[in-house]
Amino acid sequence: MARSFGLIDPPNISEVIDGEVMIINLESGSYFSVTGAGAAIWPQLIAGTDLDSLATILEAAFDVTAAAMGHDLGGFVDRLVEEGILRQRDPAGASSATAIGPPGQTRSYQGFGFERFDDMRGLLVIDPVHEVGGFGWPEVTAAEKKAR
Amino acid sequence: MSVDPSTGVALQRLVAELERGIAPLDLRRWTLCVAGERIAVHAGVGAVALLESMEALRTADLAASSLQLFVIDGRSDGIALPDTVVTRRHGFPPGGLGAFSAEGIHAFYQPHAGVLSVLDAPKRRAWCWVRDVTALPYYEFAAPLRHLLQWWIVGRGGALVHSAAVGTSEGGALIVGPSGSGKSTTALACLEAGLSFAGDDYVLIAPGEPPTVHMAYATAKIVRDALPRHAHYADYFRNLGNVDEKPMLFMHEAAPAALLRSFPLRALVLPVVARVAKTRIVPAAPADVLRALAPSSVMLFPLAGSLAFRRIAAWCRTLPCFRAELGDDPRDVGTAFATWLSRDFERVRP
Repeated sequence: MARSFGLIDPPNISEVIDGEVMIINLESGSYFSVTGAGAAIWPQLIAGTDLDSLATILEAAFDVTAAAMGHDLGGFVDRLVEEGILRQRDPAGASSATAIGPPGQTRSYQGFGFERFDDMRGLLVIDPVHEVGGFGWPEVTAAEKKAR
Repeated sequence: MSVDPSTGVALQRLVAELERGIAPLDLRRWTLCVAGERIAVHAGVGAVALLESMEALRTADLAASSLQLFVIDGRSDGIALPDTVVTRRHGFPPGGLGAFSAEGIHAFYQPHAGVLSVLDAPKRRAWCWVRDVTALPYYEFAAPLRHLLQWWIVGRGGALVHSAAVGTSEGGALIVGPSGSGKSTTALACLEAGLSFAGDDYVLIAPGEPPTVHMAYATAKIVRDALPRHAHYADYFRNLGNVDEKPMLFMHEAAPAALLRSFPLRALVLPVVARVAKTRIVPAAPADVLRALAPSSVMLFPLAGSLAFRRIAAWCRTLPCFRAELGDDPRDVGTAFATWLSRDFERVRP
């Protein structure tokens, strides 16, 4: 059965800009850049369009073989799952795929660009931020008081 | 996010505790003009020092206030951290703090700094409780009330962004980048080249076409190695004694004529140390600018990050984005920005 995925939000938020996706994980402090084929299908991917359908529209949009696209798309999604950005969802109610780019024209295939940035994590350690659904925060521990 | 119904009860109780605590206090009162709106400040005697960087926003205008803001120093005002279910809760999150929202009330506690921020949006009231003003880290003086301002401006379609801002009354630019990327140094170089200054680290952006930059703080932080270059401000340096922290200036004291409280936002600029003889300002990819501006503007602001991110991305899409390849000479950097804004901006616009 074809697999569908959705963005784990919270803690992740994403925006597409100028052919690139920026994803921020508000809990971990990591942020990510997705370029190339991944950016082209991002809105459809996180809307739950199944991978088989996405592979079909990517094959039509890029000069790439079906086998290579299937392999790369699977690897890309697996990496995002590993990073805690995507999780598998029930495909029921998901959007159907829509073509990317003008029909009959193919773009040069540059693969699925994915980059992770951790330079903000230090700031969160100084004053970590957690958005949580419950309430309350613990008092400062004796160890923390001593460390000040 | 699903909200535990008890969160609302706990937050209402927290607000009630704060109201009870401040009721008997003899608070100082004044009005700030923030992003074009009036905020009525009520501050305990000890807490007044926390707001010095916002002094340039003080106004005698008695128009109706959008927000009643109470600023309390726990130590000198004799008010302990409110003892509610919220503050007594143990166990999570392991980092030691959390941000909570229900029924239009936001609350966020920073245990290391000892700052509790609470906004009751429906009642237009906000509280900033600090454990001990005299023990606060310097950055709380450089940019106080950050969380409250972020929640407040996000509710008005804008955002508080981690950026410097320079320009003229005709328009100006955000200078974006993470901490240590040269925002403050570039902003001061621009000021010395005749541009006006709206902030070196955090500024408010109000929606519009174009959006408007509003000063939040008149703070300018200085790299310690650069102090000799700014010797003409020597009488105004603050925080010189704490060698692990940055010295800073409050520009309403050091260069009041250079302050510009608001201007139209015309461009976003990402400075890059380029080790070149002459500073160049060239078009940049909007994604590069978003990557430089958004993480630090978003991650440190619980309960507002998602909306702030959406707005920052929209500004990066709609406004021209540039990269400033900085030369080594700060005078050249300032001159390049001033020339670009006054003469070349339209020509290099992407």
